[in-house]
Amino acid sequence: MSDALLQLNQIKQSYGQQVVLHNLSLELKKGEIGCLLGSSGCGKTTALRCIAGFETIAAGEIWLDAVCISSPSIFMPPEQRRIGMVFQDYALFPHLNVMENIGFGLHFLPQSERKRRVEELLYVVQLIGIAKRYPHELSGGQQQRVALARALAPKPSLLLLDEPFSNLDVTLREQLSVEVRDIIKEQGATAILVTHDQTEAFAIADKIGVMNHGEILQWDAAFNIYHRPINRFVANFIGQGAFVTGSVIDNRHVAIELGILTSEVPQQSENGSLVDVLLRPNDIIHDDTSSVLATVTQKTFRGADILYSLRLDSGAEVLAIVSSHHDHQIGEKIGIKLEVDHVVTFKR
Amino acid sequence: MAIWRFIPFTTAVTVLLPVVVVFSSFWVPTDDVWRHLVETTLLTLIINTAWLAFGVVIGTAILGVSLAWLTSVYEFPGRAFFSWALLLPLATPAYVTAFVALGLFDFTGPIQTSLRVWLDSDLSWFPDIRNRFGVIMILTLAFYPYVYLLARNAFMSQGRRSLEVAQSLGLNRRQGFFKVALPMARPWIASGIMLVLMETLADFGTVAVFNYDTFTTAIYKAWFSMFSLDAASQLASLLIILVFAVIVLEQQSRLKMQYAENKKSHRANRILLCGWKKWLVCGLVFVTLFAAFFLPIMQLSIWAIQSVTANFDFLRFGEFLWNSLILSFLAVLLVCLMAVVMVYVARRFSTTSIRYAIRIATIGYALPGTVLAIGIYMPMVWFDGKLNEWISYWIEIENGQLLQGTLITMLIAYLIRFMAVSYYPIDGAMQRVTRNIDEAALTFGVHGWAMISKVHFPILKPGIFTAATLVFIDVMKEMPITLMTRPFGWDTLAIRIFSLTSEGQWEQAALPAVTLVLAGLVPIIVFMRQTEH
Repeated sequence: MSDALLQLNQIKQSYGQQVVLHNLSLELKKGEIGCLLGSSGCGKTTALRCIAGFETIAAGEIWLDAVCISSPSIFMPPEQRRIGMVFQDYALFPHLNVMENIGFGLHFLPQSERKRRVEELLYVVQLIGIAKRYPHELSGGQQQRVALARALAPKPSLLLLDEPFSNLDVTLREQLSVEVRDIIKEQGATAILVTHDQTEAFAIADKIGVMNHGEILQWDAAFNIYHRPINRFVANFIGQGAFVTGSVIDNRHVAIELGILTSEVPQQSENGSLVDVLLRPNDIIHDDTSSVLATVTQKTFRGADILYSLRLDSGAEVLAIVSSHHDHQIGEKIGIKLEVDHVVTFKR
Repeated sequence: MAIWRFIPFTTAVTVLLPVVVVFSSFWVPTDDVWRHLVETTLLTLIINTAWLAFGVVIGTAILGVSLAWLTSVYEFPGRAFFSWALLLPLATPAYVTAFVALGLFDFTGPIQTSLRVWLDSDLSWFPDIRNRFGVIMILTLAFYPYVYLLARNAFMSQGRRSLEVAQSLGLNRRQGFFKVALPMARPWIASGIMLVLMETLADFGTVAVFNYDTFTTAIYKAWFSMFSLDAASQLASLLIILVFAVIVLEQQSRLKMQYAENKKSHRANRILLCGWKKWLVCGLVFVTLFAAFFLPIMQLSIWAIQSVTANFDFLRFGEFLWNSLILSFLAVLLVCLMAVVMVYVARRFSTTSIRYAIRIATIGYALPGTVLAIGIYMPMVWFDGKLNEWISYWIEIENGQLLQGTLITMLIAYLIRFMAVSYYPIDGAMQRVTRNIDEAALTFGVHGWAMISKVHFPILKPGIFTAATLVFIDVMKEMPITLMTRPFGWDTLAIRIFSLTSEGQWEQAALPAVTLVLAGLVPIIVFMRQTEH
């Protein structure tokens, strides 16, 4: 046994013929925040519902706190799992005010302790002034914080968040995701979040699982997901980038048309074989003095920087992020150089 | 066209007219009939009405809520079928279920007859259902679909989810139902119960056939047996006070519903019942549906066949049917036309006063038919009197009845009673014709009548169709207004059922009843098809 708080071993789930989860495995330590990231229909919400106990599983095991809570033969009812959940639409009780909503899960506590815990949470989520309001009188961000406080109130061993920010507007989303992370960490909770938004995942999670077709392709820290993607799907799904052709010189060097990249070549490739090399926009630096030139084919002004699409001599396209002080026109040739710290190659 | 603006106000005044007339009878000096009523039957009426309202509310609440909960949260054999079939009792007028039940449990009815043969006993212990509990049973079985339908809406949109929230906070399913799902659905359930209460207070046919005296039957008797319009209308004013209390409660629960509305409906995973549990649930639901719908229908069909094979007067039946159809048809024309005009006015001039006028104009559905009949008949008598004075000034006429006892009186009463039934579907369809749609049409140069016929009408058509269907069927099934304001000897199917069942001729009443039930199935099927899309 590992020291994981939550462990999913090869779980499977399907609706009739349609396989929803396929050999899904992950591990989460106490105090960590995990994230299941994927496009809609990849099974991430189903995975969450299996952990919560709203779905049964066809194969595999789910362990929480060294207890098997779900397997094809074992099923612990959701109310006994001590798992809190923040629902996508918050699902606040419209007939209860903020305090009553937060205190709802504390029915096992005596009145005084219950009140203390509710007040503590009101303070944590900064809703003290509006404790007597009803859900329909709250803004989206406030509703979300009530939902979070309600889920945290009984001190669950695990907190699940189903697309918690998808109903909020973009500016609020970034601010709240940092706040939510701080609250979860402050309460010492362990959490899993489900989202389709990678910036959200990066902002909140310690561990991210990139999902596709009911499988976790990579379960890793944000840094590794971005810089050391395990396969082409993850590389494409996370961040931006472009593939160029390279040829392997030896296990430390790969030649591409812009020069020779020096780093450990992660995948076993024969010397001389052709590979696809991932170039992130920040791997390519604009340098007016460089002799290597590329033609601007597209540009997106993004405020602090401009994202340029550049065509190389071979016709291959790459992306480059350049400070927005450098305003170049489409069709112009600009000098570039390479600065690749993490070489990512895939066999062709 | 400013003149259109007055239509909602005119309709509102028409709706208020019977109410005002009935209330003004309070100041009319009391006559002997009224004094006699107060001394002999008023207390009984109040007790009977209170018992009936109480019993039916409790019965429909328990039955409607539990059926809605079972079919929206659990999965068991036949659930998909039951989920819509449980609405079927809406097709059967309560007075039909009532006389079938009486016929079934009669001394000469099939149940007692066969029991006597099997048990070889005189069945002196056999209970008589012609009492308070019998009426409560019948009305519960007839009206539970109102609570069921609304509670099901609430549970479908939030039931399974609210259970999940409760479970994620450490409550089991039982606690989740009582602490979360039920309180959250309360506005819907309350609204359904208020509808049941209105129908119960308005019911005439069922209590009449059971000889259970309530305000509605007392109003009818005061007018048609004791010939005191004043006493009848004083009784009506008491009934109307009860109804207004219900209306106020109903509007309040509607207000609460707005806040509780969930934005999204989620994929509902029903809880799979296993083993004996699923058969128990399936059995309970089936028994309810069987008692409320299939059993009466089967018995009706048997009687209908028996009566047809005996010497049956098809010509007279055809006459009743024709009267029912033509009356419904005229009512549909009038009511739907007014509803369309009002919907347009509401859209064009959305002022507070017009909104209030429309609220009042659509409140008539709550007025019991007996009250409405009196409230519309008395002004007609007065109007006829005035008209007579005026005409006889010029020419000599014999019969003073010009409006009373004509189809016009009935149609105005139907307009008041069924305005809401036609207004809301058409208004709902009109909500889809947004201002942007108008403006989009204008940019293509389509305006005026072309806009109405090419853009509005196609969008409104389903709404108008629904409204027309509902009004048509409601008028066909309507009993007290038709009974009390129809031209002399002008019988419809519903009236035929009333007169036959008051003489205990169940078999003869079966064919008209079957016809009404078949007609009543139409709007349910329309409704089902709409909700499927």
